[in-house]
Amino acid sequence: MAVDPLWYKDAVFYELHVRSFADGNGDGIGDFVGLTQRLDYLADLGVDCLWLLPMSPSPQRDDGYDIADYRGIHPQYGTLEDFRTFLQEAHARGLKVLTELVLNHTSDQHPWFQEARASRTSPRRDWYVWSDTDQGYPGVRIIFRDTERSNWTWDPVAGQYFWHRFFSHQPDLNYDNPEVREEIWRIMRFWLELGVDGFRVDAVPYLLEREGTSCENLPETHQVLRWLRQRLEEAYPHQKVLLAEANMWPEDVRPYFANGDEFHMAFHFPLMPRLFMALRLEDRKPVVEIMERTPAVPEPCQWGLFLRNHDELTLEMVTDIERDYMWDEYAKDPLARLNLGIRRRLTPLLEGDRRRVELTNALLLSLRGSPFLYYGDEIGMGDNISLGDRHGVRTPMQWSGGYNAGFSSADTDRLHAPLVANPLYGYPVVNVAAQSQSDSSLLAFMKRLLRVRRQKARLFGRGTLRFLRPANHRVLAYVRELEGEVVLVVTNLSGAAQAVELELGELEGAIPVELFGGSLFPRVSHAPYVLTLAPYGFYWLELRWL
Amino acid sequence: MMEELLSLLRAAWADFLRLLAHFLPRLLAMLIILLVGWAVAAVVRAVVRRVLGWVRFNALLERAGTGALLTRAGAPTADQLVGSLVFWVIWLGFLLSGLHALGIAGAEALATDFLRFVPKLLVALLVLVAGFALANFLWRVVLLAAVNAHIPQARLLGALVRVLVIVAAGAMALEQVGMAETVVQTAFAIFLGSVMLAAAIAFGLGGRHAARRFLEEKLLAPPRERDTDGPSHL
Amino acid sequence: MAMRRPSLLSDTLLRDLMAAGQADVLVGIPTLDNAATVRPVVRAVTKAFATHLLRERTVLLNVDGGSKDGTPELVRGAGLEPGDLVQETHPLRTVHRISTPYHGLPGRSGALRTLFIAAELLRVRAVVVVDPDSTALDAAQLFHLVAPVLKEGVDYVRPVRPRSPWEGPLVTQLVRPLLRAAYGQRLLEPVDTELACSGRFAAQCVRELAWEHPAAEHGLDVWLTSAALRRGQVLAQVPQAHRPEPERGRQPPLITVFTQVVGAVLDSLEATAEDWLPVRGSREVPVRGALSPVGAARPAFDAQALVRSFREGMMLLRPLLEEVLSAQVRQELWAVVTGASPAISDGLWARCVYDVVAARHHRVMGRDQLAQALRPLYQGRLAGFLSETAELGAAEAEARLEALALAFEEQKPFLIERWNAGPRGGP
Repeated sequence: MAVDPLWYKDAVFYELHVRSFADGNGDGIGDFVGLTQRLDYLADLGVDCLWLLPMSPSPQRDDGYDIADYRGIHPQYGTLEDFRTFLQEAHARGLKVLTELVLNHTSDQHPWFQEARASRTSPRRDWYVWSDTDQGYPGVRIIFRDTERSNWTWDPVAGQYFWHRFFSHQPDLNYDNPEVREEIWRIMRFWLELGVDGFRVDAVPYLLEREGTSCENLPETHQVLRWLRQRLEEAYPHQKVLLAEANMWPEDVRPYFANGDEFHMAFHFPLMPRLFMALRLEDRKPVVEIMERTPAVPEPCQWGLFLRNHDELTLEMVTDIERDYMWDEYAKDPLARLNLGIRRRLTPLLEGDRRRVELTNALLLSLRGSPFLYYGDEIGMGDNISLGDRHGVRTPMQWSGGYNAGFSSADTDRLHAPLVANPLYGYPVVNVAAQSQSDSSLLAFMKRLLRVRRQKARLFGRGTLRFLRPANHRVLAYVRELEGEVVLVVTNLSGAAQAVELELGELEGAIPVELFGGSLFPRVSHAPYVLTLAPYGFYWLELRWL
Repeated sequence: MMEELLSLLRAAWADFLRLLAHFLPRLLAMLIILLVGWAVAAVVRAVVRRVLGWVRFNALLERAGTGALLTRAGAPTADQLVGSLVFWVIWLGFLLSGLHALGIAGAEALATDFLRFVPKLLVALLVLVAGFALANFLWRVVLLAAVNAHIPQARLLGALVRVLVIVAAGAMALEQVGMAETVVQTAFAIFLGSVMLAAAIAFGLGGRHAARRFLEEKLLAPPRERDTDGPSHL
Repeated sequence: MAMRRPSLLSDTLLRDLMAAGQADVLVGIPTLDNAATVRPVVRAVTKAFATHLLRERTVLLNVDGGSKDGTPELVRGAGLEPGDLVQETHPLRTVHRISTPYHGLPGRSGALRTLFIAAELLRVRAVVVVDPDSTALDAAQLFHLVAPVLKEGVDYVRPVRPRSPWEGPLVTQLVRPLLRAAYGQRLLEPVDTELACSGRFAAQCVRELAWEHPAAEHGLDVWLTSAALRRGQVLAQVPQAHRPEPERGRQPPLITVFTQVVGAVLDSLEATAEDWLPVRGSREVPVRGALSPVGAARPAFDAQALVRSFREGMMLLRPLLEEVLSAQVRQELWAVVTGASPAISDGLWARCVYDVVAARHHRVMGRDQLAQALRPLYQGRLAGFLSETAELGAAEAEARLEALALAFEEQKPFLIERWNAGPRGGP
């Protein structure tokens, strides 16, 4: 059957770390053999596409985002052959696979950088950005301000400063150099030929530098990206997907969709903190505001929505007042704060409240966009904020209550990161095996949720969204509509039962059918439609005209 | 005498040469126009046939029932016919302008008249084709309904409907091209009138009893449908 | 915006459905002035609920086309009668019995549509449609009809009736062999008015069937059947009682039935061509239960009238048939017409029908016209069959029907050829 070229608009994505997912060879580190063995679990869960965090050889000083060889698989994760097998098996189960494309920078261990620093005349010298002073591009913000002092770092071997927007061991590539662009395209092609379905492209706003600018979102950067997309479409017309990571306001991300000829998808960063804020405030205002501030995107483009990911819950896209509120409410423990964010997983953020976890997931899967789930959140895994950097949310997947949580047969001391073992979220309590046994577990709920969403995938992925404005501000309600199909989503953001009167005038005559249980609700009339909701309760009501 | 004759002959020869010099370019021009016209007409004919082939014009007419008529008349297929028609219209237009170039008096007026006539002709043809299609369609409906209702004169009824519609369409077409309008109208009115009269007389006199029975059955008798008396076919 | 048409469900019905919530089995009885016969039917259904389906959630839904003889009241009031109650059998759950008028014109289409919508909204596992004049129905039979859907995951169940080979000739001479040759499954009663189907199938039909088509009254069951046949649904047949002949006054004229049924068959075949074109041969549709021997009743068809109608039609429609039938078929038919006692052979009859199917595909004329043009031929075929089997016993006549069905299968390449040729396939 022909694949819909817009499949990514209907898909549910699942982000995972090969290292933390499943260990197939018993060395304490997750690998492709282990991941391949767990593909049935992912297919059964009901996700459509996997997004793998970096898997190339790397000194692992930034969790793999410091790449030392673009065409290889990190030996700890297996071989290229293992990866090929994994891809085949995933495709056989109808799962697509996105991998990381870290193109802004390399590791300082990368042979290119080693060659470049060795001599000023090296042909690779111009592959990076060098300067004799550290005064260039003043005023460009420092992203990792907890660890870095400047975007310039002195390299004693090269005898010059090199430019880096992230860690000082991650020199930025010089995209003014056509050789660099060509090489990146050849690398993309290498993975696409293997069968990868697309890339999540890391740190796209920072590719080029120009004096007197913020060095972010430059027109020249867009040119490079459009050029890559053009090459992609020439080689694989309507087959592959590019997903931009641009941690910006939606109106600043919008140019990355261009006229549908740059990125297919981009993450919607500011929605995520506002979902949490709305829940805490018991008020729909933040969510409605940010969604209405979100510009329309060209038809083939799509927003990627997420609740949590492998990074901290970033609070860059909120006001200072909002950030203080978020910190006070969600990160009372200063240890939970990192940079401008909160490094916690979904369930601990929501204080382990199952109802709120269900509600936020139901929102994620019914708002307009393609949802991204983060591995482990489907069983309500906890985190370990005493681990450094963002490692606390990257602990091994908890498969069972048994030895090493079923993650690895290695000596427990050799696991790449300690298992979460606290009494609340520890693997003896929270694990896949136990939750698979029960129809009332979070995992069972997530499967149901994903199954229902898949029935209406086109509507939720592509349909229009219109917010209703009932007087009760604790109720967030919206109408999703596509090609004559209508779903009304009503959610109670508060911890108390609520009644709400919805004005559904133009939907008069519709018969609401609740999508999870199939129950009928009274027909919509011209009078306000009264619904009552349990604490943190929600309805997905399909409106039918029969 | 001889001198005179010679001079006369010379003068005549000179006149002839002058005339020839005057006429030859025009003739040449006309020939060129004719040649170009023929080429243009031929190209347009080919294009028209190709386009009609694409839109499956023949099948279309076939469905409307006109195609069968052509086949029965031994005429070429419909797209061939339309192609030829287009060819001749264009070619005739060029011929007239060629005559005009030749300097023949009245040719100009003829050409303009002709150009004014062409759209009317096309509309008339369209009316005719639509009339045929409609006639055929109605003929089928009436015939089938009549046969299945066991009306004995089914065929006559069908033919009558068909002829009426075709005659009406023909009258409209003729009127469109502006041919003896009043004559056509009068003839059509007389034709229709006489048919109606004949039908009325026939029904009134010959079918008096039948008509009475029909009315009685329809209006007075309890609803009793034909065909329901037998056992069920399902 | 969504299509906002007036609802088919009354507020009362919707409330009733909300109250019922969800059901396993929905038994639907479409009625229109059936007061005379409906009581025993309701009684049989109620008894089936109380005995065979006592663990299932059951709903009896009577969809009424506007009866003036108090049928709905009878349905609501009817039920078990003294003597029906077997000790210690009563349903565990609340039994819902709903009687509702439906919107739109009275007829099978509106009734079944309402019924299927209700089935979808109640998320039933099985729907059963029973006739209000099925007086021979008993609880066990009803249960047998629905059991394959409930217990084996069958999607579509049609009854098998112990009918004689002379009953229902439109089915046996035309619809049955044609559908069998086309879709390759031997369904004996493709257009019976009783059936059982899965909730999933009902929901599909709600979405996909042309409920508002003018031919839906008699064509609906053809559409249901071809929808079931084309999609490779799991089919089954269940022996049921002989149906009483409908009362004379209730029977629509042949031409209406013929046009709608044949028209629906033509439309179905046209719409599902890619499903049936590759099919060759046929296989049995499994029968659940023991078949009763076929009956021997000979309905009193007026053979003379049939022949007359055939000859007359052939004469009068000759120019029209020339557009429909291929040359060879025309020639053979003409030989039959002029013969002393016309008998259209199995092969010729199959090719006549196939010519009409192909003519529909090539849009030689409208479907109703094609069906009407076929009727005289059908009458000729029927007359021939009647006279040929006049001396035969039921079993032998039944064998002739099987031979006809085989002829349809054998001639299928002729259909494919005509289908793929131009509109005027015959020279």
